[in-house]
Amino acid sequence: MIEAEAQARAGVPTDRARLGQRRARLLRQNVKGYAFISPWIIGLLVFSAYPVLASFYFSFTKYTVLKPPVWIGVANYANMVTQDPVYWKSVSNTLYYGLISVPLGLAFSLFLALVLNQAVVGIGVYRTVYYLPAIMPPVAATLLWMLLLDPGNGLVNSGLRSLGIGRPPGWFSEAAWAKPALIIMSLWGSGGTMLIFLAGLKDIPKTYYEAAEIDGASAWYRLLNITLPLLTPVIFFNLIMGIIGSFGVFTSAYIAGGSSSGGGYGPGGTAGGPLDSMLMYMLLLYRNAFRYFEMGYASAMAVTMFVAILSLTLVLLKTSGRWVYYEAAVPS
Amino acid sequence: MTQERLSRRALLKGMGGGMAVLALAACASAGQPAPVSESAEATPAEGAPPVAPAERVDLVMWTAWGGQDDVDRVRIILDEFQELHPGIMVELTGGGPGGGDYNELLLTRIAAGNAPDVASLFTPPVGFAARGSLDVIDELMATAEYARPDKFWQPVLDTCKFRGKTYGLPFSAASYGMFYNVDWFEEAGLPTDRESFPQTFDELRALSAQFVAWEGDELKTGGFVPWSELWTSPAWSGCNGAQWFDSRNEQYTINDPGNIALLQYWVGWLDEQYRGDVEYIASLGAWHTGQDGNWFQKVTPLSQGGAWNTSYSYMKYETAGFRWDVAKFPVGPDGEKSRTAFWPNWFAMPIGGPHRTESFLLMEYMCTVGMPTWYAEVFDTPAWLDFPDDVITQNLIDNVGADKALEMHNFFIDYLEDAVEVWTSPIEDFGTDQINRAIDQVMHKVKTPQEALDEAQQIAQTRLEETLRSL
Amino acid sequence: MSVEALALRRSRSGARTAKRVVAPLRHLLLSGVALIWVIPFLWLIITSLKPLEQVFTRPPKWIPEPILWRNYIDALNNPGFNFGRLLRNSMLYSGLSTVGTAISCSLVAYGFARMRFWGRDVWFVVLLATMMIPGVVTMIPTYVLFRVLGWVGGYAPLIVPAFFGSAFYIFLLRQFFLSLPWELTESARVDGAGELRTFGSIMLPLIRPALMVAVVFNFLGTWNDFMGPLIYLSDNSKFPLSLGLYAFQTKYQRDWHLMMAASLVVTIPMMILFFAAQRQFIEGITITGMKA
Repeated sequence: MIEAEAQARAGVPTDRARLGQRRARLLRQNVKGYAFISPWIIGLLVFSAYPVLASFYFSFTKYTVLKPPVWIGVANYANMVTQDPVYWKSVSNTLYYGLISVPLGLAFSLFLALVLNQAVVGIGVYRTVYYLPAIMPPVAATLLWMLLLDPGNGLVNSGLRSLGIGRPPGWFSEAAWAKPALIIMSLWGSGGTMLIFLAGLKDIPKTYYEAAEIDGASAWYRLLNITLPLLTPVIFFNLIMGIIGSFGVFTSAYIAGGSSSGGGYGPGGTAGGPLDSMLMYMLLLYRNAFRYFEMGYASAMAVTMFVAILSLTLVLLKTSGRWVYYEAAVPS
Repeated sequence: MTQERLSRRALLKGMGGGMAVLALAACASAGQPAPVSESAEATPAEGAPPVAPAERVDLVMWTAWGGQDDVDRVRIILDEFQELHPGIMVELTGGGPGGGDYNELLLTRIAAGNAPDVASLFTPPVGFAARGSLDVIDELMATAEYARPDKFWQPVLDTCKFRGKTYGLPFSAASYGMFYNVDWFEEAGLPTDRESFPQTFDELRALSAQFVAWEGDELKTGGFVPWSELWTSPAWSGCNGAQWFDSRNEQYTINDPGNIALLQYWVGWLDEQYRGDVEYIASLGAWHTGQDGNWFQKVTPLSQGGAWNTSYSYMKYETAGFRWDVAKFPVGPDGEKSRTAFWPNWFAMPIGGPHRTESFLLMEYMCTVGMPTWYAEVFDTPAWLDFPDDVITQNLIDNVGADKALEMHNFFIDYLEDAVEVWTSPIEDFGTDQINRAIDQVMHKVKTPQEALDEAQQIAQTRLEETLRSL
Repeated sequence: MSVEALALRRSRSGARTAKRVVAPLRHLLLSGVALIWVIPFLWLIITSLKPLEQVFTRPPKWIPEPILWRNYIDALNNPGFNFGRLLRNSMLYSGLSTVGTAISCSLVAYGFARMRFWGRDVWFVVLLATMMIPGVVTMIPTYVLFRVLGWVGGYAPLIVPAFFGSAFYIFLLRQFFLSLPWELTESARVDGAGELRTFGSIMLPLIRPALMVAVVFNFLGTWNDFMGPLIYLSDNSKFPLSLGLYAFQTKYQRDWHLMMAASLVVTIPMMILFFAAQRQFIEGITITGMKA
């Protein structure tokens, strides 16, 4: 639109009528565009703007939830990076989790989707099996994994012992194995990502493959030169969602971390596991908000995370032009 | 065009699929009056004679208990209360899960100004009270029929106090003790009576060593694992002549020499009996008395727990496959006598409720004369001193017999006399987390007891002072 | 044309021999991984049929003794677990919310992907940003807002916002709209179709696989939503299934066997929904095929 305007301005003498016509068309385009996104804008203004601004304000206050907030400037932010003994631990835990679980989850679910996209007998059953974990209530799924990964009596360790491994991992009770255990759980639940990849694969026009087949292209060549490039918008989507999801990992750490120390009787599940190995960012945030009555501090943590993910997303968005292929990106 | 319409229909089918059914369900439920919950139907309230509107007071009460059995028990107590006070209608909201989610809910409601009139608490009232969100009830207690200030075990009532004012009532007290496997003791040729149970740390450590059996790299059976239940640490600290928090002076005492010595002692225990490997011991499963614990799997004959443990179905002799008993915590080298701690449940009145008198009556009833109904089923030993002598948890009687049940009842209640001060810090949860973190680091040998406890002390005390300043 | 057809036939016959080798391998791989995938679920079923004291045994018991089908009856008869009522509430919540989401999100996503208007990219960044705000901290202000609106106590705070779009699904659908050839909309415009008609009759059918994903996800998300109903509903009779599950978890003891039975019962409607919906994806292939 700006292009068009610039053209109009710098352009060769255009008569008023054409300019007016263009303006009218631009106006019409704007009105139509805004009409389409208006439900979301209204929702944003009514249901999101106020809570978000409120929590932004809280981040500069001492807000105990039970008493009105008191302005304290940037003290929460300063405390966070200099005073809190576990803040950086929670950051590094979350990065560890994200850096491993996101690429692993993407690769694995893409691989599954590629295999499943072929017409195989019983495909529906396979699809359902892989998606099953994502269907379960998250709390039930976590509890189920705690049964399976119970270091002493769990199915997994019994299996490992019968394979001759005398000392299987302690999973949620061992600092070094707690995060891998969470990552395994997240992989098991990656059926949702796989589903989005599957939908993306279904969207690639068959004619491309047919043409390639006529040219005698190998399956590998087709994967690298048709499937993956055309799938990049979906990969991009899943990447962003994966990052947001991994930064926000909560339920599994909340339940598994809480039960691994103190016999599971701690109020709430904010324990964070041995040596704080499962103390994820969201867990610490939650702990501050609802266990320590430090809503102001929790809001500061939220704002910080928000800025971090947003910057990361913007960088990805900016660089995405280089590797994400949109068919519609060049309108005629 | 046909294709277009077809695909749109297919789309609708896909999108709507079962939506028609759903829409019907939606209409059905929107059209009907909200169905009355069954438990509400069971209350005599509906059949009760109508009360004149002027007299009628409506209260909302919340319980943190999530399990349906628990909620039903509370309802029975409420029914009894309403028979006594037909003018007070109580709407019970239970079934919300306990623990953290409940706190979220309660905090949200208090912040939004529509808290319930009476709420049960799983975390101590002092934290809420210090931040000004609970009603002071001292003058109501002074004239109360049952809940007089001198009618509760003092250390338990102290958990409801902040700077001399009372902000809630303890519903239960539930002290802690040592659990031991009587059958296994007999097999090992050990005396099984309570008096012969180890009285000192060293005796218990020596007893524990008798049960520790390694086979190569594998621990076949274990003895006692003292640090395995972090919530009992106040009792252990007390047994070694120390405490974690001193409410009188509003002071954390985490790095008290008694506490440092305690952790040093535990590390020595770990090294001597468990090859210094806390993670291996943790990986063998939980060491508590729970049904998923090593105690139940007969890996260890020694455990620790709260009074409530005794009434679990899996603690039945026949289910467990062995008989057990309870004893007092041993005394440490720096301690003078055996001490215990306790884990109550509480009731409190969020501030600003319009019916203070009636709310207090309800809360009082729950924590005093109503409590036996609960205790008849759950061995959550009472905090109220006038508690009737003849009420003892039925499933405990069924398990161990009436005499033994009475004896256990007296054991846990009398032991409260020796209880340490707990649950009194306005930053209780924060402080506890720092202490637990320090213990975890010491047992993992990341830090020495001195370093870890010094650090925890400094963090907790700083936060305490900062919080007190902001009140 | 005939040469091309010939070439096509030749290459296909080559592919057929390859398929004879590849297909069984693929099956082996799929079923191998699927077996690992299904074991936890199998364990859930086994646990749900056990007496409580057999949940934790050393070594684990694969076959419960006796097999307690009664657990399911006990779970369904648990006084806090009125299955019929909980199911109806869940259907109402998930159903209405999903209808709202599907309508609003596809419209908004189309706007973002296919229309050009001033400030579009800025709005899109705002949209992405809204996804990154943790619910924990906005929960209290949000609650206060709905309380002022007088909606607390009913399903309105949970359902109405769905009609105003949800960032995740808008982003999802936008990505799919973007991948469609631009000529499609252009030719529709040349034919004189209005924007709404282009959207409804040409674009919407094409993104059906993605829309189905959004529908399934949203249905599931609301079905399993726990915190939302917990905060906004206070009347037990309005609780959905996700809250009903908590009747099995007490402070003191977890009734693992009943909880696993109830989890399965809660999951089954979703399995049916998914099994039905995934057929729609397959149908999607034939429709997208017309893009050629």
